[in-house]
Amino acid sequence: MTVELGELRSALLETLAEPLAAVGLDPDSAPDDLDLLAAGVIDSFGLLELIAALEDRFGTTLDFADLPAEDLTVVGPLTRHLLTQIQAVPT
Amino acid sequence: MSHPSLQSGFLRSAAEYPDRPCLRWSGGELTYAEMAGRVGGIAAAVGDSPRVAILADRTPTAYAGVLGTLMAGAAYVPLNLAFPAARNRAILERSGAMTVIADQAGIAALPEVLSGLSSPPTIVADGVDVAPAGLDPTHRAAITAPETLAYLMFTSGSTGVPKGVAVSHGNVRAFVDRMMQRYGLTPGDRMSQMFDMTFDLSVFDQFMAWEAGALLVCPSRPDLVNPAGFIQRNELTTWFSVPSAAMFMRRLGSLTPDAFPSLRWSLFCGEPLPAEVAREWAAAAPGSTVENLYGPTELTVACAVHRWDPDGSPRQSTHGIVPIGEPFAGLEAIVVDPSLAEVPPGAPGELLVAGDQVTLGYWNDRERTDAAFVTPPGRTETFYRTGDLVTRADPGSPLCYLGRIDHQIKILGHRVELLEVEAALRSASGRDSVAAVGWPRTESGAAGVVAFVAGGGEDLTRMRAKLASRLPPYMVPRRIHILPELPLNANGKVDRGALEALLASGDAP
Repeated sequence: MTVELGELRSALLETLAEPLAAVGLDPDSAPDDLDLLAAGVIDSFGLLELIAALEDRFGTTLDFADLPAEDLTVVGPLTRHLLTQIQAVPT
Repeated sequence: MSHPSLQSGFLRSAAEYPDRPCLRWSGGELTYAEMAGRVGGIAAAVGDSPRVAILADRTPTAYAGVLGTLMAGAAYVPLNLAFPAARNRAILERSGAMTVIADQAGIAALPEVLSGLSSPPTIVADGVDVAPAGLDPTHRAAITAPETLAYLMFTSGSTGVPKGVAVSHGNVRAFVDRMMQRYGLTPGDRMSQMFDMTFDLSVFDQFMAWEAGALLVCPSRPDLVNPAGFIQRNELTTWFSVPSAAMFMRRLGSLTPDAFPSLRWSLFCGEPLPAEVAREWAAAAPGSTVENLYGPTELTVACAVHRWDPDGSPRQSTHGIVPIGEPFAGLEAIVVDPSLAEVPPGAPGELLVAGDQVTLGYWNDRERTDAAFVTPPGRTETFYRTGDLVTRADPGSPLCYLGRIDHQIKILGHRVELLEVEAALRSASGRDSVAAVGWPRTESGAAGVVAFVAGGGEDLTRMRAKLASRLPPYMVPRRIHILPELPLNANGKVDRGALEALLASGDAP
């Protein structure tokens, strides 16, 4: 599957538009080093919702066993991990 | 027969193991002696208040607050920093607590919680690090009578107002004694503290640790998205959580074989446990015994248990859900029809439980207490009506959970009365025709609440803000759908099934 990093990043942050707005951020201005958990954008349940939404959108099952836990909720590392996962899906 | 108080376990451990670690939290570690110092200070500050609210989250103040309150002969009433101020205020008012113990974060949140209260409570701001010398609270410990109130635990109420379950020292003593006998915890144990203090499963974590002289380990915020790392780094020996936490770990790929070699006990409670989750957890923690506990707050934390057995349990599971097992020795469970007559084996019915863990009832609510705490025809004991539908396939089989007889659902183990969400929806929308359903469905219940409002042109942002200012986060509808009118069933009631079908179809506007 061909997906660009930028496209994936936008998809991820658009999904979170509402909780981002609640803490005064928006999808366009959220920095790569934003920790979604520390910033109060998502909790563990929100993380599951996010994963489900992205799986729906890209039609694949995502695996997080290889992603270090401290990177799980940080925009940049999370997006890059998702990209490798989605690109690994045969088209 | 003696009735040692609830706090006697802590006092004994503090005397026997003063230098052993008692609490590990994000800010450090306290020994039993240090904790005893904090407890003594708080007990003195609490004085003669009969009921004491606690607004603190996983800090020494929270736990010293619980113990100090009991030591002073009072009952504790947990508040929650994650709750909106209005809900904490409602709990404070209903409980009549005239003292509030708060930590740093609690102090910051208090002005909003207390705003508009006619008689503001006394605040115990706990921040002292030096233990007062000469703590000798044993005389207090000895005089606590078993019927003395130990805590008020507020749960979702179907009328739109949270209701307080009144639990006595004798209730919790009976529970803790049974659990100590079953789990044999020791000072070497390191126990998880996953439950918020407003969730009564936290009573197990705290009082079992203190009874055993064990270490209670609190997760930090980052630990909540990495519970597997939390178990490993702290080499926990006892894990206790809702099944949703295990399902979360499974989703992240953390439940690999032998991932948790340190665990001796893996305990789950609060919502249905899927057999598949139990099986994977057992493989991830092969040195541990996996148990499924069951029980409502009204029966003091838990009242029944099933030990997971990889051979027998899957066969005994109903719809892939692990049995809730057998009532604890000393408690009696019966399965009844609507007239409270026992049903024959194999038939479904409501679960009723009697014994020394049956709590005192609902705080200042005689009507509701009488409706739920009943004496069935031909019996003399008081049974609590759980509202849970269960069945026992035959006399030798364990009890299996089938569902609810009312509109209560579980979200991440929290009890949610859909009628309470609907009451909040009516007030937030100004519309009469509203509905709340548990959605999306998960293996163990529902992941959240979705709302429907019959109307048009509503300001959804405003409505959401109103709901969030009144309900705990897990009860706030994650989506609000506006329909011209709500589907009704043959009885003229809102047809929740049709609404769920609409959600499943993806066509909900």
